Amino acid sequence: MMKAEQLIEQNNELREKLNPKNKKYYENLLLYIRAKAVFQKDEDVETTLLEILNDLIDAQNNGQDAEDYFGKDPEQLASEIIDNLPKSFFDTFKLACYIFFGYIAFFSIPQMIDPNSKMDLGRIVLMGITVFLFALIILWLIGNQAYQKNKLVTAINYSILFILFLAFVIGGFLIETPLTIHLPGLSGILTIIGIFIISTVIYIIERKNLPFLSAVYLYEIGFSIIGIIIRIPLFEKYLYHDHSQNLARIVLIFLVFILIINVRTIWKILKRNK
Amino acid sequence: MGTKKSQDISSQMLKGILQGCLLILINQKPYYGYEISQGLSQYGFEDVPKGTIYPLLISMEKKELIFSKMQPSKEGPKRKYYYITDNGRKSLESFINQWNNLSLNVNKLINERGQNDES
Repeated sequence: MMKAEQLIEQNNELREKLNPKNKKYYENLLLYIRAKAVFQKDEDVETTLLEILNDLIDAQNNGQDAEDYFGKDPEQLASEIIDNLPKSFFDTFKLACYIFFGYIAFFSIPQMIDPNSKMDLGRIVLMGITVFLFALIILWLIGNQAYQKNKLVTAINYSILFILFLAFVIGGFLIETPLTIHLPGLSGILTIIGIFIISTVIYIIERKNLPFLSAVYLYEIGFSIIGIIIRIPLFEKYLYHDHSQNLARIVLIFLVFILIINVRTIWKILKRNK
Repeated sequence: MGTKKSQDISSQMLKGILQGCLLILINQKPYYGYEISQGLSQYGFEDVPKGTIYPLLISMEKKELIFSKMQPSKEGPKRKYYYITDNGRKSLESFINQWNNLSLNVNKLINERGQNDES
């Protein structure tokens, strides 16, 4: 994992040596391969990308354009490269776990604010799996968009994305399974602490890769603290007043605020990649 | 449908020939990607898009015909150098034999039957 990170950093630095035209050519290739090689070993993918980058720089230094050197059909060649690289169960599994856990941490922690609320474990598992599939679809669409010239297809791709997103959000509210548990008091506090510890570990590891993780992490700290405090018997009396209603409203506004901040960051990242 | 099939066949053939050529080069000494493409261009392959060598190198490594090592290059920074394996040498030998036989036969055919001025 560390190796792939180092390779990505090297890639970021070296890319600056390409002139604008070649840089665009290569970055489309980069985007396409990274998006489509979901099931391949990250280290292999990044090694190949770096190798091609080095060769493109050599070609440029010898007066040859990236397109002339590499070919006029990079998409086809990229697909062949991906098909030949070995798949990695471990890397794919790790990705799935991250996404699944990210979903749990992000969407379940706010629920813990109310100690009497039930955690629908069945729904969490279902939605977690759905998030993973959803992430695969997003990556697949990003891959398609790298070389997409047809505006209609682009519009269709984004529409599909939007519909899936709506279905996902609605499903998150409507799906109910009988697999519910209650997490009041100590069991609740332990669960929150458990999720928080795992989140902290992931945050420390992935902090450099995902700039908006800090906002998400702050959000988690906030909710975890509230969730724990509410379960301490000393503060239980607040529950029996309408304070919880106001608290819920404040929390909701906070949530929306965090979401808005994240959207801007995500948009900036997307713009940079284009 | 017909044209697509013949395109597939000739691109398969080209890949097989390219693979043989890569083996010849790598057998001579360890090469990295760009050097390989320069070698190919020297021998008439300038019009072949060099992007095709990358999936080829990957599949050759998978078939254990070659292996790779990161090494410092003459300019300094490390590059991925490819070396031939014993399997690779065997495959090289068989490629050269097949190519010699093929070109011998095709040339013979052209010489004896290929001229259009037969009545």
